[in-house]
Amino acid sequence: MRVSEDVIVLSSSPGNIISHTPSRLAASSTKLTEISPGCVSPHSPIMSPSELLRNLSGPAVSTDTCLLTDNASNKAKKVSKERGKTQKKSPFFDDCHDAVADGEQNRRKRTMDQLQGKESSKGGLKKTRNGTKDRKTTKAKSGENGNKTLVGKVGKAIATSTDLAGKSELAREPAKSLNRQEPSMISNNAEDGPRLEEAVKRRLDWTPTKDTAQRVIDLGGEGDIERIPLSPGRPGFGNLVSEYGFSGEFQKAKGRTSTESGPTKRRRIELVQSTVLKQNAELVKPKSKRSKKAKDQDSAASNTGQKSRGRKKFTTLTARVTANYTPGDQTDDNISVPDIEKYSDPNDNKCVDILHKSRSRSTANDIESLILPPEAAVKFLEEQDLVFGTCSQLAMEESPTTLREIQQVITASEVCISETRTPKPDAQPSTLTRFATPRNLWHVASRDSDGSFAPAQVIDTVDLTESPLVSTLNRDKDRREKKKEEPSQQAAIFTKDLPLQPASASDSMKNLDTEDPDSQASQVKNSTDKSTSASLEIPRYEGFTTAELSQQISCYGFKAVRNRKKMIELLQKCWISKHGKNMAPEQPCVQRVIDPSDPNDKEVPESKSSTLATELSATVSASVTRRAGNAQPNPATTKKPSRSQSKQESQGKKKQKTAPKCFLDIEEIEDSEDEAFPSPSRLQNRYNTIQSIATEASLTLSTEPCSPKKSTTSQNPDSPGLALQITSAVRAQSQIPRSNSRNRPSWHEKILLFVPIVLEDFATWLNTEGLALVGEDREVSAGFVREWCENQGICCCWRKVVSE
Amino acid sequence: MTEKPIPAFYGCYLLRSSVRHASLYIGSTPNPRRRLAQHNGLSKGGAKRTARENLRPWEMVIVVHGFPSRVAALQFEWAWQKTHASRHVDPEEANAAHRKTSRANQPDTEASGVGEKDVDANADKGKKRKARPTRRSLLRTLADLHRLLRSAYFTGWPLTLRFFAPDVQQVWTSLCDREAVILPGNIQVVLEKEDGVQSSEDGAGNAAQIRRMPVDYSDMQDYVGKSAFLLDGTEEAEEGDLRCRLCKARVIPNDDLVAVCPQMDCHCITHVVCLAAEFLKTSNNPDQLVPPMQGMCPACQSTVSWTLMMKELSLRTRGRDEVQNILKRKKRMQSSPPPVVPSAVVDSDSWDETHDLVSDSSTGERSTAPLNVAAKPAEIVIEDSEWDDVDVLE
Repeated sequence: MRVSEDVIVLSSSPGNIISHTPSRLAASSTKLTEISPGCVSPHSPIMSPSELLRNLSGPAVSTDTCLLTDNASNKAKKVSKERGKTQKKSPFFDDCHDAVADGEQNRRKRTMDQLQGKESSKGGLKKTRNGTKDRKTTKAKSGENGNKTLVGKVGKAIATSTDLAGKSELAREPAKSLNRQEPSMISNNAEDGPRLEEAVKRRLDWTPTKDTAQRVIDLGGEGDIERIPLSPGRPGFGNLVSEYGFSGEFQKAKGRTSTESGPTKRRRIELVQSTVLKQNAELVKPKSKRSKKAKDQDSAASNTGQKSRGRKKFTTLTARVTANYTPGDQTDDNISVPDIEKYSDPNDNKCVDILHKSRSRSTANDIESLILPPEAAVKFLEEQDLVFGTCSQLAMEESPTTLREIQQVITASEVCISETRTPKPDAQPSTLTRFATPRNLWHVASRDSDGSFAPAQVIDTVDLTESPLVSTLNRDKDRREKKKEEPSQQAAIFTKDLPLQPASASDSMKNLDTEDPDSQASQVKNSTDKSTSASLEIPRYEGFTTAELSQQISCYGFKAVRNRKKMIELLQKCWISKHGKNMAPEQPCVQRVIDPSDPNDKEVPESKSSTLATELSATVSASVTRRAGNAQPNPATTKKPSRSQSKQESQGKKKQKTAPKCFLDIEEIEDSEDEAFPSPSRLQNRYNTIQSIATEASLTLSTEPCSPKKSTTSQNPDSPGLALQITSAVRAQSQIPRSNSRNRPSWHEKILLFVPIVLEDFATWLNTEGLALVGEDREVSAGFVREWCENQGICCCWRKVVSE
Repeated sequence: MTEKPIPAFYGCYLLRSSVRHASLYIGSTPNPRRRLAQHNGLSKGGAKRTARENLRPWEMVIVVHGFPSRVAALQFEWAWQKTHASRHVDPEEANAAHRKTSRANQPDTEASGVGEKDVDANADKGKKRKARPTRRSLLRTLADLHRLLRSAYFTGWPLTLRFFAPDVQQVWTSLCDREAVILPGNIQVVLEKEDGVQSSEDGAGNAAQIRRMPVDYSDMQDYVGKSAFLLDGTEEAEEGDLRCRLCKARVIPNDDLVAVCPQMDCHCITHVVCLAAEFLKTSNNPDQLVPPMQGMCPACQSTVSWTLMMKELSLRTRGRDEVQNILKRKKRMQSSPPPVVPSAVVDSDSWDETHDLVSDSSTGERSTAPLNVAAKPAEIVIEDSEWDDVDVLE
C-alpha cells in the first residue's frame, strides 16, 4: 500500500503504480527513508511531511487543485513561482498540506476520488519536499550516489525525462485536460524538476550545456524502452520523447536554476559557473545553431581564445590543466615564452624565435604554428632547454644521465639568467616569480599555531604552487616587487659563500664560478646592499632598556628572562628566526639531502653541499652575532663558530620542541625552498629531497611501529663509529653555552636527569643537528639510537602511538 | 613537555600468595603499601589476577625500586614479566640458563612441584606461551630478575633490590652464587628484617614491612630545604653571584641546571654537566655518558649519590608543587609528626602517559604483544601490573 502511494508520486496514473515503484524504491534508498516514514508508519515519532499533511484535515482539495491548475496554465514560470512560495512557507503551502492530507484520507476510503486525491497529494508532497531545500539537495545527491545499479540510472533518467516531457506538454498543450494532466505535470515538475535542475547544474560544472541536453534525451530513451511496455497507462510517453526537442524552455529552466539555487549550494557552483558558463554563453550566442559536440568544443576553445583573450582567467583546476592542451590558448604562450626566454641561452635564438613568432601571431594561425609536424616537434624538443613538469613527472625519468643533462641545461640557463639580468634588471617577468610566489596564505595555512609545518602536503605543495601556470597567472604588480627583492637576496647568499668555498664547490657551483666577473660583482654588490640593509634591521637590543627588552621578549611569547644578556640573545635569535628565515633553515635542508638516484655523484655533492650549507649558515649567523658579540663579549664564548653553532643549536632545539616529528623537520626543507632562485643545486636538491622524503617517510613509518631491528642491522656496518659519534654529539651540544637550559635542557642534561629519552625526537635531533656538530654526515635511525641508549643504560622509549 | 620530577619511589614488586607460594605476580607501583592493600582486597582497584580469595593474602617478597621514572619502572616490569621476549636478554642464554637452573633446583625450590615447561624443547609453542606465566617458578622469576639486572640496559640504573622474605632471599643468594656473572655494584640488595608481627596472619600480607619503606620525599626534606636556601636565600644568590664550583662560570638558578651537594654543610653548586664530567673522571670509559651512581663532591669530598642529587634537581626544576609540599610538611613537622601518606606521592599515578613505555619488546612484538596479552587466559595468576592500561602500553 505504501508502495503504491509512493508510486503515485512518480506518475499521475494508477497504472504506473505497480510498474514504477520497485525501481524507484530500489534506486534511491535515502529517498525512500525520507518519504516512507510518514507513509509506512504514520505513527512514527518523526513527522515526515506527509504525516504532517495527514494530520491536517482540510476540505480544500478541489480548491487547491484549482489553484494548481491555474498556476499550471501560466506555464513553468508559475510553477517556479509556486516553488518560491512554498519555499517561503506561504499560506499556499499550508493549503497544499491540507489538500494532501485530504487526498490521502480520501484515498483510504474511496477508489473513485483516489486519483485526484493522490495527485494533489503528490503535488503537495513534492512541494513540501521542495520547501525543504537542503533535504532536496541531499536527496538528489544521494539519488546520484545510489545510482550505481542500472535500475537506479533508469529511474533517474525517467524522472528527468518525464519532467521535461511535462514541461514540453505544458508549453504546447496548455488547455488539454487540465484536471487530469495538469496536476500530474505539476507533480512531475515538482518532484523531478528540482532533480533536473540539480543535474543540469552539475553537468554545467564541467560539460557544455548542449551535451547535457542530448544526454538526457538519450537516457530517457533508454528508460522508455524499458518502461513503455510496462506502463501502458502512461499518457503518451512516446509523445513526450518525440516532442522533447524544446530548447527555449530549457534555457528558461537554466536561468531559473542560476537564480533560484539555494544559498548553500550557490557559492560553490558560482565559482565554477562563472567561467564555464560564460564560455558556454559566448559559445551559444554567436553560433547557437551548432550542435555537434566536437565542433562545439573546438570552437569554444578558439572562440574564447580569440574573444576573451585578455580577461580570461582560469579559476578551475580543470581549466588550468586543460589550458595547456587547448591549441589556441593564449595562456600557454604566456607561460612558456617568457619562461624559456629566461632560462634559455639568449644566443640560442632558435627556440626563442619560434616562440616569439608564435606569440606575435595571435590569430587562429597560431594553432597551426604551434602544432608542429612530428620531426619538427622532436627537434624542437631537443632544442628546448628546460623541461617543465612537476617534480613527480621529472622524477619518472630515473636515468641519471637524463637527470644530469637536465641539470646541465638548468645550469646553463641559470648562467644566462644572471647575464641577462644584469643589463636589464627591470625586465622582471615571471620566471622567478614562479619560485618566489609569495605564498603567504599557503604559507600561513600550512603551519600550525606553533609555526611548525602541518603534515601532509609535501609533494602537493611542490607541484601546485611550483607549477608555472599558477604563478604566472597570479602574477601581479606587488608580487613582482617582492620578487625583485627576493632573488637578489637569494643571490646574495649564494654568491656570498662562493669566495668562501671556491675549492669545494660542487659542480653547480663551479658553473656559477664561471660566470663573468662583472655580473657576479654586480650581484655581490647588489646582495651586500641587500644583506646589510637586512641585518641593519636587526634592532640593536643592547640599546634597549631592560623593561623594553622584557616587553619585546613577551612579544615573542617567551617567559621573562632575568638576565639581560640572555634577553638580548634570545631576542636576536627570535629576530633571526623571524626575519632571516632563509638563513637559518638552510642547514637542515641541505644536509638531509641524500642522493639515492645518482650513484656516481653519491658521496661528493652531498657532503659538499652539506658543508657548504653549514658554512653558509655559519657565516650568516656569525655575521649577525658578531654585532651582538662586540657590544657584550661573552666570556664563555671561545670562538665564533661555536657561537653560531649555538645559535643553530638553540633554534633547532626550539624547532624540535615545537615540531618533534621527523617529518616536520623534513618539511622545513620545503619551507626553505620558498627561495626565489632555483639554482641547479637547489633544483637537484628539491628533486632529491622529494625522494629522500619518500624514503625517510617509509623509514620512519616502519621504524616506529615495528622494525628498528631491520634498520639497525642495515646500519650495523658503521655502527661502532656512529655510536661514538652520537655520544660526542650529545657532549658537544651540552658544551655549547645556551640560555635557559633549565627549561630546555640539552640531551645530555636530559640523560643525566634520567628523563626518558623519546627516541624519535632524539633521532631527529641527531640527524638534523646533533651529528652535524661533530661533522658526521651519516644519519641514524631511531632503532639505532635505541640500541645506543640501551647500551648506555639510558632510559628511552618511543613516543606513544595514540592511535593503535 | 611537562615532565614530572623523578618519583620519590617507584618499584617493581614480586607478589606471592601466602597461601600457595607458587602463585606469583609481578607488578609495579609508586606506593607499595597502597598497592598491596589493593591486591589483598582491602581497598579498591586490585588486579584481576590477584582477586581470587583463596590465594589471598598476598605478600610482597621482592621490591625492586629506585626507578628514575615511571617509564623506566614499567619497562622493567614488562621485561621482568616477559623476560623471554625482552630484548635485553638473549633468549638463547635465557633458555639455556633456565634449563640448567630448573634441572638443578626443581626438587627443592618448587613447593607446588610444577615442572618447568621449558625443559621440553619440543613443546608446542602455543602451549608454551599459555603455560609460561603460571608455570614460572620463583626460581625462574629470580633468575630472570638477575639476568635483567645485569643486562646492559638496566645495569646502569640506580636500583635497589629489597627482599621481604628470607626464603626468597635464600633462593636469590644461591642463584647468585651459581651465576657466573655477578651483579653490578650499584645495585643494592637489602634484606628487610622480619617483623615481630607476622603480617600474613592478619590478612594484610607483609604490609607492616612494606609500610616502613619510604615512598615519599620525606627523607629529602632537609636537602630540598637546603638547596632552596642555597640558591635563593644566601647573599651570593641575592647578588646573583653564584658560581659553578667546577667551571667557575656564573650560575643562574632559574636558568641553569645546577646540582647542589646533599651534604647539609656543603655549599657546593655545580652545573649538572660539569659534575657529571667530574664523576666520570673516575670512569675509564670515555664513551660513557651516564655518570656512576656515586661520586665525590668536589667541595666537601664526601661521597654523594648522583641519583639523589638528580632527584633533588628534578624536584626543583619540574616539581614546584612537590617542593612546596615538602617544605610545608617540613615546617609542620616541627610541631607535629609527619602524615603517613604524603600528598606528593598520591598523584604520582598520573605520571605522564605520553610515552610509549615499552623499550623492551623487539619492535616486531610491539604490535603483537597486545594480542598475546589479550589471549592470555584470565585464570593465570602471575602477571599483571599496577594498572589495567598496561596492556595498552605493551
